[in-house]
Amino acid sequence: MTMRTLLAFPMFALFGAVAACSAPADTLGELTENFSEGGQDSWGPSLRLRDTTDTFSGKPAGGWYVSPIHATLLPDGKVLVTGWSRSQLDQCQFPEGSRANGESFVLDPSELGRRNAPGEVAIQPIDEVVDRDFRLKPADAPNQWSREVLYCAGHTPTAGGVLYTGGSRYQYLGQQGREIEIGISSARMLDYTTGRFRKLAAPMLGGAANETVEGAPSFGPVSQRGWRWYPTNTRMPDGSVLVTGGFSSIKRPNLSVESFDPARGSFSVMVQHDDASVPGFRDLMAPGLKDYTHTFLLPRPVTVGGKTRSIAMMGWNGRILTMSTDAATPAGQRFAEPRNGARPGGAQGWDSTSALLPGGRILVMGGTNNPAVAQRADVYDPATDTWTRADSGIGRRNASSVLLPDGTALVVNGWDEDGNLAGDRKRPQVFLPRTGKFQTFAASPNDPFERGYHSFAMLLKDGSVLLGGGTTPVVDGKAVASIGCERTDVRIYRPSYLTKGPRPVIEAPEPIDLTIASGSETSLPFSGATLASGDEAGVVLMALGSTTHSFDQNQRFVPLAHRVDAGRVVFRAPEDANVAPLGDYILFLVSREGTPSVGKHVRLAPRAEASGADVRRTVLFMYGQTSPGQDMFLRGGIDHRYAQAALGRTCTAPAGSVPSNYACAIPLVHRNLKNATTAPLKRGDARLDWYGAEPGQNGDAVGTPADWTTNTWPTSFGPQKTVQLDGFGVEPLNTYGQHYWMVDVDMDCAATAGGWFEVKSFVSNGPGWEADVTQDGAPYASGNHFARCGSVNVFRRGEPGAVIRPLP
Amino acid sequence: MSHVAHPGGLRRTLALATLGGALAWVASGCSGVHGTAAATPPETELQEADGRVALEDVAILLPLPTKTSRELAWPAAAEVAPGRALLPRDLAARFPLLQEDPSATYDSLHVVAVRLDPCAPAPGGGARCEPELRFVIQPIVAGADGEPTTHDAAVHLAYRIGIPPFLALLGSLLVAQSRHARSNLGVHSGFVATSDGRAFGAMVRAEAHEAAAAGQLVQATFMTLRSRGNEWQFGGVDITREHPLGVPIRIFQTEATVQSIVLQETASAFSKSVFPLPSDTDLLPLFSDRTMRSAPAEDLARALRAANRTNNPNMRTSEDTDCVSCHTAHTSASWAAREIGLTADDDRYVSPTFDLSPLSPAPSDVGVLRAFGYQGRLPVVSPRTVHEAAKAARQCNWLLQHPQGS
Repeated sequence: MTMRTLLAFPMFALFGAVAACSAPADTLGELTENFSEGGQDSWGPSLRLRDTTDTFSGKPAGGWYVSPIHATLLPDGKVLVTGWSRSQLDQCQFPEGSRANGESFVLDPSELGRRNAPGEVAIQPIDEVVDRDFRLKPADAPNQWSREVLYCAGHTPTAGGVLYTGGSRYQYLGQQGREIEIGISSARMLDYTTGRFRKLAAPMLGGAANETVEGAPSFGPVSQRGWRWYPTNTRMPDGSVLVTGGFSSIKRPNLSVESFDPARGSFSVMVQHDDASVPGFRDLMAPGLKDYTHTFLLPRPVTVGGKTRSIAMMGWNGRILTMSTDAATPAGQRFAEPRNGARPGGAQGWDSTSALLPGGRILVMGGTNNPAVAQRADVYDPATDTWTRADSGIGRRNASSVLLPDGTALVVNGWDEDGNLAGDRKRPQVFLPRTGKFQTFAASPNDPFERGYHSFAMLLKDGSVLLGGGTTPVVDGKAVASIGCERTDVRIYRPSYLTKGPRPVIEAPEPIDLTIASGSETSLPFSGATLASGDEAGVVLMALGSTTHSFDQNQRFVPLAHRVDAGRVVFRAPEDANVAPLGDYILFLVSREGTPSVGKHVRLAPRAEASGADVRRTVLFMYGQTSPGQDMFLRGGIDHRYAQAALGRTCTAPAGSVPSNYACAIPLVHRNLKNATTAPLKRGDARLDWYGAEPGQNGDAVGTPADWTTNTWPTSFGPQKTVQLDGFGVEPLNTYGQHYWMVDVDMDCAATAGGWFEVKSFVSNGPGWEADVTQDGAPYASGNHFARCGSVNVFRRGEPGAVIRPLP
Repeated sequence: MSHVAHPGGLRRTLALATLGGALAWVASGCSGVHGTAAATPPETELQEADGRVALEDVAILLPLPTKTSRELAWPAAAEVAPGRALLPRDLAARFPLLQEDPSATYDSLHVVAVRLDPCAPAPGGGARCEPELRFVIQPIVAGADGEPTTHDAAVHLAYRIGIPPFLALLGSLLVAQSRHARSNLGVHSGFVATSDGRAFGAMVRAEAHEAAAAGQLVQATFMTLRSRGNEWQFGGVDITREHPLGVPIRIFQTEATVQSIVLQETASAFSKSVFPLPSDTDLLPLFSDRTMRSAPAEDLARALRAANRTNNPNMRTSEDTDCVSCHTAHTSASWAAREIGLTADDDRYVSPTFDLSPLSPAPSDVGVLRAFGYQGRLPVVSPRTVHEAAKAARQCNWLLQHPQGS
């Protein structure tokens, strides 16, 4: 218990002293205190935000005090912040109306980083394009409702800008029990190029058709379709945005799910709030009051209830809810609860912070009013449906978890709302996913106050972390632990990894463009440090953070395999959009000591858009029994002589050229990279060709690798494997039997001969090439199989027959 | 160390040495000088009886002030004796309800209810009890329309008073009672059924202050709603001459000094997260709709019985239960009855004398934790308050009928 607490918050201090008998402060057990290991963390000064503009009438002398609540990292490294302003620092109650002045603005961390003493930062509000006049009922008086505000909106970066969904408006703002808060159905985009918000023409659509609005007095029922506050925006593999959770109005969670298409600028409902076909357990997505649903796109989808599901959510209940986003899945089957999805010990999830750890596990840290839960980190593995626990030694409610480029997670912020939590929440901690332990660092200096509800922490482009806002028990010696009186400052924290060793330097201009699953290599000059290798990621993409209320809706850690060649780091773009959804990232190089470079902006684009090709999914099955240690590969393309004669395409290379050119090869991108055996062989395999391993492809590959599949899994083989989850095993498209080896690719049909191409199989370590065949209906004479691009093609080694059928 | 909880009483003994004289004074209907308790009085087991004392004679809910009648609830800052405020300012400053919301200032704190308990547990534990006068205080602030309303927060002050002042106050209420019709528990009929509510209010205030002046503030407890609107905290202090600002009271069976309840609620679901856990763990299935819908029937029956027990002053007292249980068990039980048709009668408090239905509707909203006071502008009377009042009224009747404790 600190002297500050005793003086400023005497009741809790006194109570806390008694409570400490059962919850000893700073007992960190096996945790590492004041961790250094060659690095030293440090803090920038506290910088108070002030708005000295005339944006709002009644500007007080010295300007408005501004509480930051939301933060989104922009590609250029600046930070979009949303919060509110008030006229007095520590008097925030009605009728002063502190929460009426919602405002957004951009901070420049490089400018903040140059400050070395506490002070103030003048902010410049951006027009939020909000409605100011609203009547729910004709009888409502003018100005009965506040203007719209964007704090408590959902947000995430998209290709064109930062999408803000929802927000709120109030009646009886500041009137405690009478206060009514309802969501708004409009969405906005902060355009990267203009730096301004624009209101989207299309409204949101999900919500109750007919529900009462709680309040004093309550009213309705009314349609609350589209009303959302506290929604969660989750970036999806194709760059669209999934909108989940939040509330329509107070005590009325919005249990709809909708999707935002950035290209069209519109929303579509995936599951409506009052769809009676959806099981009741769907309400597990409901967030705690004035909190956000924690929604994740899983890098490896899981099968729950017989369906593949790529979304995992957690609401106040502390139970994982999975969801299928497959358009063909009926609403009633979209959701499923994993058997072991409940947080251990029945702990709930409200006021926790969570993050998607490297490898796809989910960290759930702290929260609730139970001191034991508040200091606990629970880690859920969706792949195994199991939990592990770790004790942080510091109880936190409303903390923040920030993924760092070295693969760890920083846990900061949080407050002790009931005066009974262990430890000092001003001490940053780093969670080590590999060991499940915490490193604990010294408390933030010159700052006696906690950052609780409405605080944020977010990774910046230079590897430091920006902290801001947060409810605290006291400000300037006065107790003001209420919403509306949050801290008005931001502060930069520099984790110790920044000083563990020399920092790598990326010597390349921004932006760096990558194409998902392109197979091609990117080579960048770098200097300054030896990069991490092996199990430690030396090249990492970090999604742009977009955080508020203890949850970052967009942060993501994507490691990329790399090699170093003559002062350049060489790596490939991510191959799976579930691992790395399309959009903007920051590229970090990480030294072997764990020190990151300053990041560079990366744009991860879809492949089809980049190539302009006629890309279609194409599946090849080739029957062939093999022995352990043998693998099947396919080669193919277009016959060189036919290409020359019929297509005017020269595929034969000049003498001495190794390999030949690829004019008769068919570009492809593997869709299945889940088979741990074949995935390394598929890397760099960008074509179906006649030449074996391509440049950059593993030398063990002798063509395009195939995966073993079956229609049913023999019980004698042990636990069932599936192509969906394991990359091999049971495959729904295989309706034929065992030993049908499969190649599942996105293929450029424009490179084929009128949709046809040749295929021949090769089994390594033994049988080798199959015998020549003569297939009926072939477009030209050949000793190989002929397949159709964009179809399912089924062959047997050495047999002329073929089954060619459309994809379902 | 006592516990933060709520008044009640098992079979307790009361020191009755001065009772005879005091009762004679009550019978005369006159106000006068209060007597003092004997140093070592004989003790008699307090019993119950039918009689003239009604529910609202021992549980007086004041009307909420209006713009034109603000004096009906008087400020907690009012002096009960020269230089001695009913709620000392430095004591009030210790409670988080004033730290939570700056609009809930010390000056906003007003008495909204007064309660009489002839047999509150005496300090030091054991079976002894003493008369107690309690004040329920809430922040009263101006609503958006200018009319006063309350915050969802309260301070309870317990003044330990001698038997004579207790009976004097009771006597005054009984005299006033003759001028209006008795009613079930709600806003006192002295305010609503007579044309002279102000005079009645002034009398209650004067008599209560006089009794408090003669007594000693021994305990102050609080409940407050945190600003997100779904977490309540409970706590309190025991006050002695050595510790005028109080010593924190431990939550029953724990070392904690604050008990928290967080409510997560939708239109059809709710969960009450309580820490420290309720002392009667049989109650736990009632704290979530999910468990209520899925728990075995025997667990639910046990839980509803525990709720009845919690609301039964013959079975649970301030000494053996926790704050949250007292303030929330009944709304969960109401939810169970309304939503899934579950009820139980075992251990339910019954009174041979009184109609226990409150004048104000009993709260069934799981978000209402108030026991006796106001939720915004809505009067709230919990079942436990009614039951305690019934027991206290019957004990008062017995006292009046047994001046020598026989």
